[in-house]
Amino acid sequence: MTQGCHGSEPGVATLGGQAGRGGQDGRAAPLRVALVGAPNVGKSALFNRLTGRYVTVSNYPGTSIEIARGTGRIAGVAADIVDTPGMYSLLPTTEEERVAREVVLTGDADVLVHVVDAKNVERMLPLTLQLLEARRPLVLALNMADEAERAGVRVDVERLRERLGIPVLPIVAITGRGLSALERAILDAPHRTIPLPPPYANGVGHALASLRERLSGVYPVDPLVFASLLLQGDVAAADAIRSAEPNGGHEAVTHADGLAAGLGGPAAYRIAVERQRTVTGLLDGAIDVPARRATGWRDRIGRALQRPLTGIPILLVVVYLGLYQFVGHFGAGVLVDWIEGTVFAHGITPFLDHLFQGIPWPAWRSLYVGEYGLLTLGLRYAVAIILPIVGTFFLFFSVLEDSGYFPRLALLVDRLFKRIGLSGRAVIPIVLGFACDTMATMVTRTLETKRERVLATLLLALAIPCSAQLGVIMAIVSGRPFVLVVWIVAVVATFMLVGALGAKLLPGERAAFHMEIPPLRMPRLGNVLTKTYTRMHWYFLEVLPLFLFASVLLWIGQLTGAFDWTIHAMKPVVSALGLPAETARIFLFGFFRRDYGAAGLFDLDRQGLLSSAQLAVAAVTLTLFVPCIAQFLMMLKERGAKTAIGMVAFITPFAFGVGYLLHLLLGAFAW
Amino acid sequence: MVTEARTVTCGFCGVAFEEDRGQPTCGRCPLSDGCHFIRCPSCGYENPVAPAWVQRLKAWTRRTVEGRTP
Repeated sequence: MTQGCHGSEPGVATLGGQAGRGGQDGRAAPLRVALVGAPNVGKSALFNRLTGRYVTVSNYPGTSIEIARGTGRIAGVAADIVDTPGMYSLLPTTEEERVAREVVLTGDADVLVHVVDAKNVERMLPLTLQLLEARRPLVLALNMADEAERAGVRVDVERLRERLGIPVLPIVAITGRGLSALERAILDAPHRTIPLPPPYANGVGHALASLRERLSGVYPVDPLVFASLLLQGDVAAADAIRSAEPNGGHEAVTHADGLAAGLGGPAAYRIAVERQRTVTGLLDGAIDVPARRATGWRDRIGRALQRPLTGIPILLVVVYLGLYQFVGHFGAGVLVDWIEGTVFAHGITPFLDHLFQGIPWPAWRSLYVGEYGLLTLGLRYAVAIILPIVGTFFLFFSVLEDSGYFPRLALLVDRLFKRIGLSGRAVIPIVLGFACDTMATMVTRTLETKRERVLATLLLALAIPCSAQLGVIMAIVSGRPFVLVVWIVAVVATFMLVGALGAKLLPGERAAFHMEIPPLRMPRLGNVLTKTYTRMHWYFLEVLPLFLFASVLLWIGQLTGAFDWTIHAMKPVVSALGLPAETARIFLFGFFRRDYGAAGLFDLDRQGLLSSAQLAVAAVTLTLFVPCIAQFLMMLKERGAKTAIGMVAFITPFAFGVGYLLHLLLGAFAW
Repeated sequence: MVTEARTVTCGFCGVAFEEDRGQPTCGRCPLSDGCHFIRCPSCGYENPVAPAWVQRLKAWTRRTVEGRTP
């Protein structure tokens, strides 16, 4: 954090002396404007509008974060404008936020323009209050006002302006609507009296004021913002205070510790709560959002979902009813039985056999309708086994998603995840992994630290079965509760063990987790069906070509003898796991896609070739097995070749190792 | 023809964002080139976006229902 040369005295409520750059007072220095705000609120669109062509993009000093600077004219006055990276709070959790905060706290900008999404004002106003703590000329731009109007959001701009004490302007940066008024407000902002931020209740306001009074050093912006950050345990703010205060800041830091301890909870959390409460008060009567507000019973259910005592039993019920009964029994039992057992066995397959009898060469015929034929294996697996299972899974997933259950699940597992070095935010890729591990691996890039990203990628590749695989596994175990219990215990234990070991071995910061929870809502049939259809459509388009490709490779392998040779080579491994020789085939399938292997396992089980113990060993090994080709490519892309190959090199022997141990364990208990 | 921009409400964090302001994921995934997912700018969650024919059907249904409402 940089220390500036101009001070800010307590109680001084104006910085008007710095105004008038850019020609109004005859000086050549242009007006310096910084655009700040959360990601994707239209800062860049506004920046482009204000700057035109004169833009340079360069790394912020000492970081790899790019920052755009440009020149333009604001209401006819020359201005230097900087577009900061997205920032949710002045208490940063990412490198981007650190850079954006730096721009604010150096005090280099004559005017800060806080750009917010007009549809989500309540979520974004806490940052406005933090910016007010810096006591710099500030303008609030409610961007995407057109979208807000279409969504039925009505903001009483005058009332909000009156309550905040700063200019508030609705704009549409992308079309230019409201920009003239915004430019005039920016130009006028340095001449305006800067208001004090609204007082926070429940001791937080007193603590901030008390700490602020202890700071007598020279700060680039009002010391109140440094006091606020120090109280929240921000290390950089503490360093800045130590170097700014004449006595080394020891008294302030000690005082902050005492004040934080007296807040009755983590200071960052307590301050965030009071800030949000203040925002709610500010917006009372100033905004009309046609939201599906949580009613009493929704609040109560929502809280019950988040608390371990009630949330974990509810989670188990959801998993039992949704996965075991609906996906396992109905999808993989009733639907697969009908599609495969009736439609394919008595209709499509005999028809295809008859159709391809006309091909005189058996080798060519077997490409289409042989044991590993495109149609009798690839198409059958994809359409008759995987699609009904995946369809029911996606329906169940979409109901949960549309109800608002997932963010509550994130809070529920936050404590558990912390034990393995992940924050609750990692539940987003983990939950997505149950739909598709490939896209989930891509989403790991949104995690805050490298350590979290690597851990989440490893756990996704190792212990999170994708929708198709999970559905097939549920189908296999639905009639055998013993296998289900063994599978759950083995996979969860592996997840926890590898996560905990990884967290110990990987250096780095443990990330904090803050998340706003949307209201719990009744799932809407239209939404659920649309989401299910879209996911099934995408899945089918992705999976069918791969299944067909795998069938062709297997057919070539069968013709050349390579397939038999590989099966033969795998026999010692399969035997060591106590599995019949036929299971070597499913592991070979699993190299292409885990769900392809799982479908093979499903097929073997239906032929009655596996005991319960063998099924448990095969299902666990296959679940922990190497990810599919698509996921591996994504791992290469997101984590780099070294990390991705290292992970696969670890996972493959590890999966067989766990299978071997499980085989020994089950054998020891004579199961 | 005036087309109405479509607002997507994130299935995870509940943030509402206009479809063309989310982060499209097509082209980033190595195998799935034509998927209909859009990433929430706030939390990164991938939201399925209804294909055009479904959206047209919804719009037609809405218009029909509204037309019948006295």
